[in-house]
Amino acid sequence: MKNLIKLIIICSFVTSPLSSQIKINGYFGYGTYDMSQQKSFHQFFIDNLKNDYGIDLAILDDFPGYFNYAVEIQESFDNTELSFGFIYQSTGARSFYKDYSGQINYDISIEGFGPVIGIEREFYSSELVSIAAKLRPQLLFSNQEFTSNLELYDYGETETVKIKGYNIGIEPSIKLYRQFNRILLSLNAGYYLDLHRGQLKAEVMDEDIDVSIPGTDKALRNNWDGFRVSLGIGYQISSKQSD
Amino acid sequence: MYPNRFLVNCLIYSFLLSLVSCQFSSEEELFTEIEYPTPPTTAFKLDFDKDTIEVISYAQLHYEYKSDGQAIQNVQISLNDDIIYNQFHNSSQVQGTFSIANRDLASGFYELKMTAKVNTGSGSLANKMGGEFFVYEKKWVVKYYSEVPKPVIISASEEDGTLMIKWEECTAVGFEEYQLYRGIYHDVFERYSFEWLTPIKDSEQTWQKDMSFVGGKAMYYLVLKAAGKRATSDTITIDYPGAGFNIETNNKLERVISWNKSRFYNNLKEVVIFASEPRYTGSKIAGITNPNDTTYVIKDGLYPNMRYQLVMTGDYMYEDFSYSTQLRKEFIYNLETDTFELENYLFVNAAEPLHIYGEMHGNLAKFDVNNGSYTQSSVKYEHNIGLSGNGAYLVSGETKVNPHSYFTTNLDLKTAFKLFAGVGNYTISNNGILVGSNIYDDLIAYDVKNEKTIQEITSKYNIFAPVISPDGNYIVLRGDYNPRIEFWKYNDQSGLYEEISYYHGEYKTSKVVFDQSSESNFYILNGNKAEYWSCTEEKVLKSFTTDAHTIICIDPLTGYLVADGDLMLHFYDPKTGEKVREVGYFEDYYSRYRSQMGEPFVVVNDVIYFNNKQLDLKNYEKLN
Repeated sequence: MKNLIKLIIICSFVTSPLSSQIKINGYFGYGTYDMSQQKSFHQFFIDNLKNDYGIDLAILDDFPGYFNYAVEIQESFDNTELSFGFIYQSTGARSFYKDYSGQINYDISIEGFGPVIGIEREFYSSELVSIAAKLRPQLLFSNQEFTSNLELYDYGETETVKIKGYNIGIEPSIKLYRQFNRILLSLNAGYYLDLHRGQLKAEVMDEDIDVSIPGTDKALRNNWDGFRVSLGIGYQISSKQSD
Repeated sequence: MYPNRFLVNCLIYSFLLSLVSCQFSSEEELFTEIEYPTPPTTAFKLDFDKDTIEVISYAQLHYEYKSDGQAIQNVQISLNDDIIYNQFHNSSQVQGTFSIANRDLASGFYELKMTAKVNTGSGSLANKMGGEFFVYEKKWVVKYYSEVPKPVIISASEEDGTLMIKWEECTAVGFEEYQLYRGIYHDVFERYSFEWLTPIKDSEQTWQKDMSFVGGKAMYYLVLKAAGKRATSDTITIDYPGAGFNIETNNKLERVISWNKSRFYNNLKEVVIFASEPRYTGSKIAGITNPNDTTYVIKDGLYPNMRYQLVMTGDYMYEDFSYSTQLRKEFIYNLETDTFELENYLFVNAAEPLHIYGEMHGNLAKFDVNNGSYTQSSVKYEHNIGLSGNGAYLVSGETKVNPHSYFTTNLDLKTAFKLFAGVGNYTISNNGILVGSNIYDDLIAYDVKNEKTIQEITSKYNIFAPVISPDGNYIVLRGDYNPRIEFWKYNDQSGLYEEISYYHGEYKTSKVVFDQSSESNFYILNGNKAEYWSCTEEKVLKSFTTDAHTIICIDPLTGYLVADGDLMLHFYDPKTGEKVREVGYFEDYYSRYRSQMGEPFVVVNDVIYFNNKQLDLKNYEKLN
């Protein structure tokens, strides 16, 4: 991920002298994530523990909506804005039990990140605000950690399994924005749809193995579908040549 | 206008920094309140209730463990931290068996630890995950013997009148039994003869009474059997010389045998006194069972140099085991009886003057009872001698001898017997009629006075031992194989004796002895009953019970009937039938002559005459 961030930063500096009107936008948003298979995956372990030991784990988090972040370099071509950037989002789950003798918990955290391309076209403009329709195809890589933790008196055992995957999706959205001198403020609202969900692979003994939903032969996949809202702030680095 | 590059970079880096710290992370917790469990009461039981467990080679132990409701999940047993038993359970009351057996285990001390895990039942996470127990521990010391330890006999000594052997207790698991062995020392063989006394299955019984030991030298050792192996203790030797032994003659001519009371009086079964001539096997003359008795009195009788043996016996029976010991002491003793010059068969007449005839230096001789003088003849002593009760007729072999002058006349008895006179038995009536038999049981009647044969007597029933009555009118025959008596009577017309009657009875071993004071009455034992027969009336005039089996003679002065019992001469007063005394004798005295006809004893006026000895019985007290 660090390498990808460096690539974006380098690109922004490489392209900026050549662009006639270049902006850098940063987005801070909130998204909901369907993650239906992950919920089943989580529930399987909870049920298993109950069946085997009679322990009722309480689900404290179950892949809730959570903040996401993006950064883009945007260049204007007439009324069309093209952007290239990077997006980051995360969610997770926790089931938990604790009493005087110890605790047990399952923690799942999933990060989604990857390059995003934005295409927007302004269809309304006034002095107060402009409105544009935006389409953002995305390639989302995911890093997942499934951690089981058991603590009994002075005994402790923690095991973490790392799972990787990728999704290809698209996020249509509406963007309201207003530019103040070189500063650009924007509000985005949209919905993300997976176009392709890659099968998750777990890293076990330095090998990647396909992960299925326990009890089935159905492949486990991330489902990032959900609403997305965000606030953006941008900075216009250069003016148009005509300016 | 180009933006401030520095400002842009700051914006980008601060944004990226915020990315790193804003990953989803759930830290929420939820604590569930559960009551802390109360430790249960438990009870542990091992089939060995001591803190130290001794094990020989191998031991299998059984345990029981119970709680007051909680499930016992695991019982683990270790020996010096090596787990030798690990059993999972799921019950509030469990049991099991574990063994201590290891060929490589060296003898020594080990720690045996039992660890029991009891489910708390709290319902907590750890409890449900099988990680919460109440843990109980109990420890023992194991004293391990790779081989059976050598048993140790502590003592072997007298205790309460018996011999007590004590040893150290074997408390080891694997004990099977003690085996006590005893060796009795035999002076003759100069070695110990070992035998196995009773086995003892109870390990806590560390003693054994030797209920048969009465004294002497003995050796004991103990064998300990355990775990299929055995070990033997050192021997322990004891030596109790035992009772002293002495014989004295008191002023009543009694032999007083005395000894000391045995230290092992409770083991004493019998004190047996044997007597014999030194070269003969001893015969039992007394058996004393009261351990407090330490003397035994023998009425004296006819004894040569005697070897007395005092044998203390201890016999004991325990279940299937019987064992015994003997303590034997010898003592050779002789009562100095008065000497008597005559030997061999003795014969006495029944009327004054009384003379006893016998052998002196190979010739016939007589002893005058009244003045105690001896008169020796030149007549060779023969084994078949007949003497009439009135003393008028005397025949030795085939020679008629005048009792007064010793004048002799040869009788042709060989012709009378047709072949051979030989050794036999003669009786002569007061009128000189001799009846006799030779060794072929040919029977004759011979007139000694007139020196002529009367007749041959032939019994239809092959009976013999003819005896003639004092008046010479009757002959009585007695049969051994056909036990009966036959009466023959002299027929004046034919001049022969003829059978007139017979009577069956237990006359097999008895003997006909005529009462010389009568004309034709005789005594005979019918079984043990003395019968006094009248030949003229052919009936029993009187009878009385005796302890004898044959009649020997009648004392011509006292009239006492002398009869033979078991090693005893019994004296009866025929008038009353009462026994007046009994006198012991050694059986060889009698058996030595029994093969011949005649009697070895002659009793005159309460003096027993016998083969160079005489014993005056007048000092004898009444028998008890």
